[in-house]
Amino acid sequence: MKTIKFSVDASLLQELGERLIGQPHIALAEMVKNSYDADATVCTLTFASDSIEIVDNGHGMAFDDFKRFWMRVGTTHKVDERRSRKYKRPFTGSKGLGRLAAQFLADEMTIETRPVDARGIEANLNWAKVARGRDLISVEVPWSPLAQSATFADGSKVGTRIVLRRLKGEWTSTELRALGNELWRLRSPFGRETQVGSRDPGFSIEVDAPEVADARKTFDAGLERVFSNWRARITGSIESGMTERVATVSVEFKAGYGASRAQTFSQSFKLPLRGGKIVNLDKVKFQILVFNLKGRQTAGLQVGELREYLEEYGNVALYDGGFRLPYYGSGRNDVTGQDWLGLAADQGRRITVSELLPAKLRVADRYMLDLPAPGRIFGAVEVDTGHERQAGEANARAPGSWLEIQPGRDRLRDNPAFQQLRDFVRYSVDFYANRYRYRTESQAELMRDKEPPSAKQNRALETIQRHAAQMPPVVFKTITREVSEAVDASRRQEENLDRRAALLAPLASAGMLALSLNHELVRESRILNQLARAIRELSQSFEDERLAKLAEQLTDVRHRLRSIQDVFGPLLEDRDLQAGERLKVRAVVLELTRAMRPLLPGVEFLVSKDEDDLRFPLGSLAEWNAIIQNALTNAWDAMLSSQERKVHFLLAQKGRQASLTVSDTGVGLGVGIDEANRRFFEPFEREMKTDAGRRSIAFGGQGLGLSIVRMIATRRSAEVAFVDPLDGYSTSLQISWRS
Amino acid sequence: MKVLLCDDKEQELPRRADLLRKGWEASGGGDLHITELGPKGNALAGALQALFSSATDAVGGKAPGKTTFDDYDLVVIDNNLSELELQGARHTAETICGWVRALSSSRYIVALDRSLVDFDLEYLVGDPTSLADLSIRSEHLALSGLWQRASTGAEFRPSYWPDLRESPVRRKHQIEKLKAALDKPILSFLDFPAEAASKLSRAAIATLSPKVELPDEDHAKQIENLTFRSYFVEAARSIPAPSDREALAARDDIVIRVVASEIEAWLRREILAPQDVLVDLPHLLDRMPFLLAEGAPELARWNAAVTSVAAPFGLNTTLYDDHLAKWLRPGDDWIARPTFWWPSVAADEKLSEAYFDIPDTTAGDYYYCEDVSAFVGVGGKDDAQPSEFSMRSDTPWNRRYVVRLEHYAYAPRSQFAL
Repeated sequence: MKTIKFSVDASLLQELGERLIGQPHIALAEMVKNSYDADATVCTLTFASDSIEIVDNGHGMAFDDFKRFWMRVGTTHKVDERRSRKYKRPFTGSKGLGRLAAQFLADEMTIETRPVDARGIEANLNWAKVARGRDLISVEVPWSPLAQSATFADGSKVGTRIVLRRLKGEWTSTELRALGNELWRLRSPFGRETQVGSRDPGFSIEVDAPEVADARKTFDAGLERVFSNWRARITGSIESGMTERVATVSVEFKAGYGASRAQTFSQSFKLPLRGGKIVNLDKVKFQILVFNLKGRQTAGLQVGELREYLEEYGNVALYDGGFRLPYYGSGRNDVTGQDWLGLAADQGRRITVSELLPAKLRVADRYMLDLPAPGRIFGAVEVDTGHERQAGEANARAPGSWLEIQPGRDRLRDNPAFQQLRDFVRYSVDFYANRYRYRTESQAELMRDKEPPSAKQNRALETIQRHAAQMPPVVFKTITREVSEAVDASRRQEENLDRRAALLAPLASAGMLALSLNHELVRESRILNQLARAIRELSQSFEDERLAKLAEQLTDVRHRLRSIQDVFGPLLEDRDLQAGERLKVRAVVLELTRAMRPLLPGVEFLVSKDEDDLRFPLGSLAEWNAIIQNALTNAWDAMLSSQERKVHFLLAQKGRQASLTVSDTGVGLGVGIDEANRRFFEPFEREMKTDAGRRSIAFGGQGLGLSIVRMIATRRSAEVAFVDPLDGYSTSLQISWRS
Repeated sequence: MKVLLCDDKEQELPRRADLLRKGWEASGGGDLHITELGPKGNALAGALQALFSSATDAVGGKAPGKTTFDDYDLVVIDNNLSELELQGARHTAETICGWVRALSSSRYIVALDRSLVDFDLEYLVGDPTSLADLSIRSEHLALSGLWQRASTGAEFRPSYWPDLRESPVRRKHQIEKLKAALDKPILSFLDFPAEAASKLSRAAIATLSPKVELPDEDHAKQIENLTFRSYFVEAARSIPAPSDREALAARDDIVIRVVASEIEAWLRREILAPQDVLVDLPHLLDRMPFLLAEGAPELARWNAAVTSVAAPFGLNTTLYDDHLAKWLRPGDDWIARPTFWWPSVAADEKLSEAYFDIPDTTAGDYYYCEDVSAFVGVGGKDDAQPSEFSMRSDTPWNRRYVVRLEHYAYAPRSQFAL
């Protein structure tokens, strides 16, 4: 059989470009990403009237690379290699799109490129000449060796220069802004840095577009919107520290962060922080921005984008005379430098009180738990080792005790001055954590101190009455009536709330006492155990059955005590108080009936075996426990005079609607279901009266149980209501939710 | 066995001593000397004052003197020491056991009654925040299971309990071996294979070194190279203040005692509890019941494998020789029971295929119950079924079972509903 080969039309490139890229700013961004992926530290974009030049100082290509990667459509070496060669940057460019991008943007392209240890090349591509209908593999691209004198970005001998001519579209501030938004993630916030060792010095993009007004500013807007999202700003400075010993820190909070109003706290103090009088630092200045990586950010920034960016560049950097010392707060490669302030370590240890702050700043709670992680802050500390040396000499400090650069030039010598610097910066972060907690606590106080709505409305009423003369009588009358009604309604509500609080507060205190008594029960239970053992031993010595029985009874009492402790179980464990997961309904019901059984003797519990995997909405075990416990104690009170005492738990799911129905064989609601639903969930509303003879064994009776049940259910997006009783039962209470 | 029993309440000392004696006798007895150290004559308060001034000496570079806690196999401390006549903050077992460990030649520290919980459903280690080698309720002292590995299958014996009879001896050996190894990498010293570092969970790495960053490609390398001494400087368990740790880092005797205890605790909590890097026999059988071959229907064979210490541990000899023998980590002073490198076992395709060669239906319906350290069958009285819970761990093997013995507290109970 004969064979035939595929051929590819040259216009395919054009079509691919349009389909895969679509927009000019994405096309140009792809080309810049290629520079980033080639480990360039700078990429310069120059826009002229009909051309764009993209120059970098990346790896460059030898002829073979050019042939293999650039001249072959669909080459995907980036899929195989996940990170760049030198700085191990994760690849950002898409598969082979750079070439298509060039064609998408312009009709002509010149590429000059030179790698290390090989000759460079220069090639010209004229897409206009690639006629439709011509086979792609027959298109010839002229190339020649690159002149020795050619240099690239930053005067580098290696790199790539691409010049696009005869542009297909116009570049205005709109496109530049879009380009800035596309590329900000790649850009180091530190600008251009000196390079030390194999550490990634970052990537900067420079834009030169004389024909576009405010080009640089427009392009940078993408990066700047990141920093506009700070929630707190920490600043600190020392001037003439060696003589004056005074340092100042200040923390500025934006409104809505920790508390509703904006606020600034400042403090001056004497150095050194850990005692002694000799200060080895003279001049320091720093600023640290704190971000909130939860919730909405401004300027349309996605919280995930911000998080990723700060993971890469966050933390506190150190500059000496304007040059960044890459060891501090840098990337992920050097762990010690990364956490030079010990923030991550202290967060991990969950320390609660600062080693550095004075005791007078003690706020009630454990403020250091608000210490920000390095991935949530961005900051820069400025020192000048030249100045420090001069100041040190002038103030007769011991040589080597002032700030000095280590021979490797990437970090400072770990000497007393550096330790004082670290303490000073760390003090400011601890001060932030302390003030943040203070703000959240004050906010809580503020909320509590708010005057009741009826008082405010009353003031409004008085104002209206004072200005009665200026109002038409009908308007005055109508407004007065409406506001008076509002005052009455608010008063009723407040009274209700007061009654609820009057009862809830002592009940809550009793609850807390019960929890602490629970611990005491252990001691009592031990004594019972000792007694039981002693009596059992006596029964054996005297061979007396009565003593053995007594010992058995004591053991039973002890076990009953243990069961009572069990009822409090979910309130004693942090994990059971946290709403971290959606809990299985059946397991929760089984847990609770197990704990309550000894307190509800003679009650038969039936738990349906259907819907074994049904889960409550997100909520804690303690919350679901409280709901079911209330339902059970109501059921118990209702069944005190019943012959048959049964409680049935029915789990059901219909479509996305899930429910748990608790039914009992008690005396019933005593009113219709609608009325019960209208009244019984209000505080202090109860219909059922326990007869005097059984009151001593009834639970509750305060008329708060069901309103608590509804309160918890509503908080957890569930509904609770009485429904038609199941066959064979007199009352059914249903908790329902969307699963 | 020499035991020092410490309590701030004189009347509690004989009661606890009785409980301890009862457990000791029930598990085989032998020489047992209990010394009681209580409030009488200010004995315990004086001993603690001397311990704290030794600590100040040690941190200040002076040689610490002998302590009252020296030379005991076991130091058992009541957690609540609030009635002691000591100036300053009230003390608990937690506030002192780091220094007892660092400064005395006692071997194993047990704290009593810090919590009301009998069984830890969350981390399967007991009291995960305690600094003692073991934190239990005083009633547990009377249980034979605390003093031996063997389990009756009916009595309370959490799978995570060490054998207290053996633990002080093992600690002695750990300390001896560490003398020449403080600057050696931890993982290779513990015979972890080269690739183990990359298999450790985030929690396991973070506990060893909070400074190792994730997810960095180099983190495995950093953990692989982490030495006992650098662990000591970074870890905040026994001696919480970093400046104290730095001051003590050159004192080999102190570093050794601290790291021996803490690395054992790390192994128990981060390696043995999740069973994702090393798997012990019961959990291996849970995953691969066919390893028992023709023995799979018999409960007794399952439980024989749990306590067996010699290869092939009651497993099918051919399957063991061909697929498991090479991944065995024999029991030693650090991990008493035999275990296997799970990632390697799991990667053995032939073994995985054996799932299908040997029908699972022949295996009995048995569950390894962590509260009695034994396999238990479904059925019996009231058709009893072990209670399933989900421990808190990233491991895919977090579904576990307990018999749920009456009168014992299991917490946190939300683990049953996950």
